[in-house]
Amino acid sequence: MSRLGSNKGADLFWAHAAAFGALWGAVEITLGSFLHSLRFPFCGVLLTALGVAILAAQRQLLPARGVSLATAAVAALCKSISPGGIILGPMFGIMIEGLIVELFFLAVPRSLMAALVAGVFCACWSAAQQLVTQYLYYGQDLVELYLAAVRLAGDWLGLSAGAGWTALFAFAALLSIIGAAGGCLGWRLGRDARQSIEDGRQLRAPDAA
Amino acid sequence: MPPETRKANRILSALAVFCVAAQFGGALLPSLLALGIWLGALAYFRPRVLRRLWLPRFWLLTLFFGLSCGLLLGPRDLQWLGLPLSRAGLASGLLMVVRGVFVFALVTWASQSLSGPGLCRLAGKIGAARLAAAVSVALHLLPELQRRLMMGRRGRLYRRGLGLIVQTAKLAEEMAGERVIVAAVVGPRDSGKTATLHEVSARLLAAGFAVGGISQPKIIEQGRRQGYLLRDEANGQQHAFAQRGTGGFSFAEEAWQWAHERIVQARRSARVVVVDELGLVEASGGGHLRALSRPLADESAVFWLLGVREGCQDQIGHSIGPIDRTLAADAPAAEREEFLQWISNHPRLCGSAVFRVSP
Repeated sequence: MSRLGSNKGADLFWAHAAAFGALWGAVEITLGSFLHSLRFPFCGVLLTALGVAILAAQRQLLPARGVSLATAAVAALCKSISPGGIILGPMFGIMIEGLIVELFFLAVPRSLMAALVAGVFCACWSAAQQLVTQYLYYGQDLVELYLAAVRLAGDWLGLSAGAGWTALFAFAALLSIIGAAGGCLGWRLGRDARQSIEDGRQLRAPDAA
Repeated sequence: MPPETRKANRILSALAVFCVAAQFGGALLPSLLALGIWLGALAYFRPRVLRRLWLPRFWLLTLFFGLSCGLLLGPRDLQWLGLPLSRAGLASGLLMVVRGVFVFALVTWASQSLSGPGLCRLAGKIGAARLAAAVSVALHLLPELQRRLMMGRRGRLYRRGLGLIVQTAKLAEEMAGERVIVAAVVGPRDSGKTATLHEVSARLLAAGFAVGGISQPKIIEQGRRQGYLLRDEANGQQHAFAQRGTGGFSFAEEAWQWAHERIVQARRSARVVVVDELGLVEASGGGHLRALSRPLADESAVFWLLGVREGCQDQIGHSIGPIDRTLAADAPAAEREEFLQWISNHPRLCGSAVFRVSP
């Protein structure tokens, strides 16, 4: 079912987008508020991993083109009702995550590899978004400021220039593992959910006949 | 949106464009001027947005960036409290602070102006009506999904996650389904079926669902039932149906036709169709059942709400398909409320009401 052209297909597409978008929105609002209030480390990356898990699971159940992007749009608009000063940043983040997942599943629908790679990219994006936002707020000087601070820290600690890159790679690897775990969890949840729903249908089939 | 708010938004939008343009040169003075204009405009038009700018973490970070620029960027040509600072670095830090505060204030205003309903309206205007509809449904589902997230047994996270995904997928399938959901108020004669049906349909109507079909109120004179009326649930129009005669009740033939037309019309135009008093006549395939048993290609109803005489529900179910849920006519108030909530929150009803968007 890679293309849904009929009204029935369109209804199912949007019904999935609404239901899974609401689920993602509920996770963002409920769990997100909880983790943020606890000042939980890597809270944003964890929420991103859960978002990828929801999208990857949904893609196993309805492998329709564009459904991840539509779900992200619904979740982002759900997020817009949450109280707080700034919502455009998180909404933009959700949309980008939806776009990343969509692009990878567009290439290889229902694939574990797509779920894993999408998870990695989304987690890295989640961390990078903070930097992008700061760049948009403060401009080019911020980049020079960060580079100067890293050079100074390296001088103080007596580290070589390459050590900074190693630390950066280690950090990116940690993010990638969290993101990939989210993608893998979603892929498995989606497959098990599909199996569970099909089993339920088979059990009901004799009655329907 | 009130006209004053719309006017204020237009003025602020124009000012925002001007202030953003003033930032392009990268010079401190125009940036500072633009920030002053923008904050002044917010104070005048949107003081609430200005209050939302009070975020200590953001201000501390901004101050930290500004001072760090003086410490780390440019040649050190200034001494302050024994610290070697750079004039060029401080100027660049000040520009960063001004620019950061301006963009932050701009984003806060945009966030406030475009939240929730505003974005849905915008989506509808730019041709994304289905997206706007899906968001409306999602917002409707949000409290229930939040409840499901918070409830459940701890310690079995995978099973809980699986349950949530399965339930969400079933919710989606139910919303997009084509099957008509049938609910029935069941009871013996004079048990209050009509009053219950009318109460439920009135509340669904008040909640914004299109309701049609017929109910069958009694005509009581001198404490005695003298006959029946037919009432169109969509508009309250009434028609004489039965009169007590010497040998029992006599039914007006054209009233059956009137009811038939109203039921079929309701199946084509309403979301919820009410049909009252399905009894022995309907159990044998006649009466109002004829308006329900024939499939319609252009059926728009997703819910049939029936009043069924006790003991007839099985035969009626054979003709029109299974009855999904029943309510005893004399059920206590809490049970009635639960029944009403089940109907009004049913994914089939809230989903189909908005997914079938006219092209």
